Amino acid sequence: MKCKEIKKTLIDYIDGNIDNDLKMILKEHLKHCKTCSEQVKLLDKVVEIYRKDSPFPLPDEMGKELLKTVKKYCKK
Amino acid sequence: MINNQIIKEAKLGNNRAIEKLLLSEEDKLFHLILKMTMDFEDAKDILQETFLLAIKYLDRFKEKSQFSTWIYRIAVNKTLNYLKRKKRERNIVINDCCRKMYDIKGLDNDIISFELYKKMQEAVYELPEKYRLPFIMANMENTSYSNIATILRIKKNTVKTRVFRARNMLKDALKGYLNEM
Repeated sequence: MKCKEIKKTLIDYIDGNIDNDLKMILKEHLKHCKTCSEQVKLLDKVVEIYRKDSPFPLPDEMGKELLKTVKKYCKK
Repeated sequence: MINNQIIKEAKLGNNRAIEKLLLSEEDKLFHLILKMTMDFEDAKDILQETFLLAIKYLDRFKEKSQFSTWIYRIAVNKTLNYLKRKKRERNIVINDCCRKMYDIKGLDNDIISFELYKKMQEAVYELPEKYRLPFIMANMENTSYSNIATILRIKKNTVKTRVFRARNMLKDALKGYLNEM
């Protein structure tokens, strides 16, 4: 497989949505292609960093305030 | 766990059921709105408007879709309208919000430096909305491409492509930082 074809399958590879045969072919390519393996590494890092603060729940104080408003509205 | 009985009771005006229904989605909705607006107070206000609107029009919820899908749609519309208004005052400083988020989550240099954290939030904030929204949603717990497609009323493959493009744009925007990690 050439890099151009590999790029088309990267979406599914990164999401873990490809069948085993294609996964093997990709893995083999990534072992030998520095450009593609670097791309995958960086794309993985983006998500890894972005998820560092997830999930981000509603802070308690704001939650209490919100619940108060909802209760008041429901009573109307 | 939200079941049909709670939805039925909420529709009949049972306040406890209404609260339960709303609370089941509260944190996830806040996460999405905060990440889109990067402003705590505005995010809370939008969430509040979403809740009040949901209560007002609960009888219109047809139960053909999940309650979460229905309320997400309301929140997304509210958020996009807010962003449209905000566009006129483009000078939003997200630094304060980043600092607050970083501190609340107890992140520190061992986990991620504040500089990189802020760069990431800024880069996401700079993404065009059509990429930013699916990207944020795709990185939330239990949100599949199919769910996102239903909420945003676009095709699943479009969601997939936009999330991937967003990732690529972020990769390019953060290149110098990512290589140092």
